Amino acid sequence: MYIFKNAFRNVFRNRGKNILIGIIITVITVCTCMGLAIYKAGTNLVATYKETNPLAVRFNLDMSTLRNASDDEKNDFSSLTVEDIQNYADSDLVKDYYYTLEASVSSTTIEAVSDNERPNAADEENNEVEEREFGKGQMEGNIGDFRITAYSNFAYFSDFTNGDKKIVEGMMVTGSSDEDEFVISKDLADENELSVGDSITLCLATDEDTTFTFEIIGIYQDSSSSDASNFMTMNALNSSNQLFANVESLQKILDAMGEDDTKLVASNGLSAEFYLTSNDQVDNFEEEVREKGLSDYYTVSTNENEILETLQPIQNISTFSFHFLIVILVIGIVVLAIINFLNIRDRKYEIGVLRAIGMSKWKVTGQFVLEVFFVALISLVIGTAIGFVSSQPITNQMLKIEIDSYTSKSTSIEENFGRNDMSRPAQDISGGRGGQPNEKSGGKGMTTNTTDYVTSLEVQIDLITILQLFGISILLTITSGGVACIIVNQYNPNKILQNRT
Amino acid sequence: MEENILRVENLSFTYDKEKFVLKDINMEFKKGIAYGIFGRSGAGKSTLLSLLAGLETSKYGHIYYKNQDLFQMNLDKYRCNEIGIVFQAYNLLPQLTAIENVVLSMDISNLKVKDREKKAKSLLSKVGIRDEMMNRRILQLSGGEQQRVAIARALSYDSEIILADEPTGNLDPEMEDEIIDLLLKIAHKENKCVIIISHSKNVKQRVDQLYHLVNGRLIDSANEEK
Repeated sequence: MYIFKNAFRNVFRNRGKNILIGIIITVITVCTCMGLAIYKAGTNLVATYKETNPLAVRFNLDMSTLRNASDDEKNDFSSLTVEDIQNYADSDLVKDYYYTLEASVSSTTIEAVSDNERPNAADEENNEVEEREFGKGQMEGNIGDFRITAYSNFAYFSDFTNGDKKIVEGMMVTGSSDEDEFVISKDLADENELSVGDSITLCLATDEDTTFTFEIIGIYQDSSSSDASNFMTMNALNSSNQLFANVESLQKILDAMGEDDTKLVASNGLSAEFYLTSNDQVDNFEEEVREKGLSDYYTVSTNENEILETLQPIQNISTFSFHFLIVILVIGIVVLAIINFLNIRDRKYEIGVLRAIGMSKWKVTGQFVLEVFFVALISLVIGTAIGFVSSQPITNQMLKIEIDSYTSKSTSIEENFGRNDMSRPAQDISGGRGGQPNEKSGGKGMTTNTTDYVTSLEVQIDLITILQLFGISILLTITSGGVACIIVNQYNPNKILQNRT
Repeated sequence: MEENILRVENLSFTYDKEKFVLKDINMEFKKGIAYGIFGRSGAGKSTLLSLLAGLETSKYGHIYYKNQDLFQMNLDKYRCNEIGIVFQAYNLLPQLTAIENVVLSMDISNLKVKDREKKAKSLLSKVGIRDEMMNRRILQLSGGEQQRVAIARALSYDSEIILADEPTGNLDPEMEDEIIDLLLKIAHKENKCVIIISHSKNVKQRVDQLYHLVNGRLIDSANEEK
């Protein structure tokens, strides 16, 4: 086809204009390439994150339904126990889980850090509501000055992983230990001049004769600004009076209380969480736990919204890249259309001659489009190369920000707990596979895997990306060539040539 | 007697539907004859050539090419295969060389020739373009040379009709004679119908047959064989 030959020849004969067009298309291609690469990197990261971060499945007691239940139904209702949790965790669908226990104790040998702040108006209102629900006297009667909390896996304790609490001396207790040891706050240590290695004696809030002696193995500092939950100004709700023990030790206290103490205290906000082998197994897991006896008063929920919130920055970057891509394409089409228009107007005489000697409108249009296409093809190669080189550091930067957030969390765990072998399962986002804990950690051992974060993400300008860029180039060429088509079809060769004469 | 290759019947033309620049024109053209269409500026000569060349169409009257209604034909094909046009302003593509201009014309007409470049050289040589000029870009050639290239282009696809619009209008007298000689030679020796639109007395004296246009009308007395 001679129009290919003519178009190719004209590309080189009209070097000046074509270099200008080539530069513009190259810039568009670079931006498109970067936009595509970042968009793909973002979407891949989101997909990988979702794939490698299992949802946390929780059971929430539906208090309103329970309140409305008949007395018989209330009597039949039995809240969750540790045994229930362990039973539910004994499933092929569960990769990992943890639960928390809590007890309130007193001491005759150490003083609690007192909270002298008075509640504000809003707190008073809440206070009244709470008193109506439980009765203040009853609550105070059962609550000592200290609160002991145990996590079956402290790696899940977000106050420490987020850095609000930090081990400043000694180390954190572990879920696997059965020693009578705990960690106390720095405020409490200072108040009673305690240090790591000291032993303290605690007693039941209701029975000072039942005592428990614990060794302090770590001291933590709480950097959170306030303790909003302590609206009743009880010492036990002061975070400085919170002690952390292992499950076995706390279990002894709960056993000594002689009540239904193995129940999880849902009203205190403590709960169990299960991590499944696959995020799409939530429905199957719910079905399984219902069969195992989970009461209908418990609803099964996940932290999917929290994860989505965590991914929001990446999704924003991805969305921004996509919009950037669209804007670039629109601008590219407009700019190329204008350049084509100006180019064709300058070459009106040529169109007139070609039409006068019998070249059809479509072939003239085709030749002009081909000329732009040849330039676009060369620009595509150059632009893709530049885009590849420049999109890599941008994507790495984007990834670095993400990795930094994960790394800081990991560092928090190491620094705050005073050890580096505490980790949650499946935070490895490097290869699309979650971490594989050696055993389920709830109440027993900790996971021993370490998290290997991705430190770089290779931007691959693969065949699909090249084809997409090629498609975009064709789109740009055809769209801007459409302008050529419209203009050429409006020209009357006779008028062009007469005007020139 | 040889059949008319081109016949104009009752042809009128208007650009604005009010003032007719051509009025009821009747003409006949045969192969082997050089025709001259004369008239003052504004007489409608160039409009007539545009219609004969298929660059314009009219709702009033007919032009028949080999007894086919020209306005019903594919005019692109007509222009690239059936007629060769030589313009006063040459209308060659300046970014191409002399050879490329001629070859392009053959390409557009899809001429069945093995070696188009060889034929282009032969044609350029025939119209008096020296070998060393053939690979020069058009703007590096003189006006006379450009017009010769334009004639070579018009001949390149063996059309039976050559339309020349003021082919000597931009040339000096010596060059004018050479171009007229060339066109007459094409008509007589190559048995082509050559139609020259001009107001040159030189052309008027040398063509075989004359048509005279006055204010868009054909003057009968002018339609006489010389």
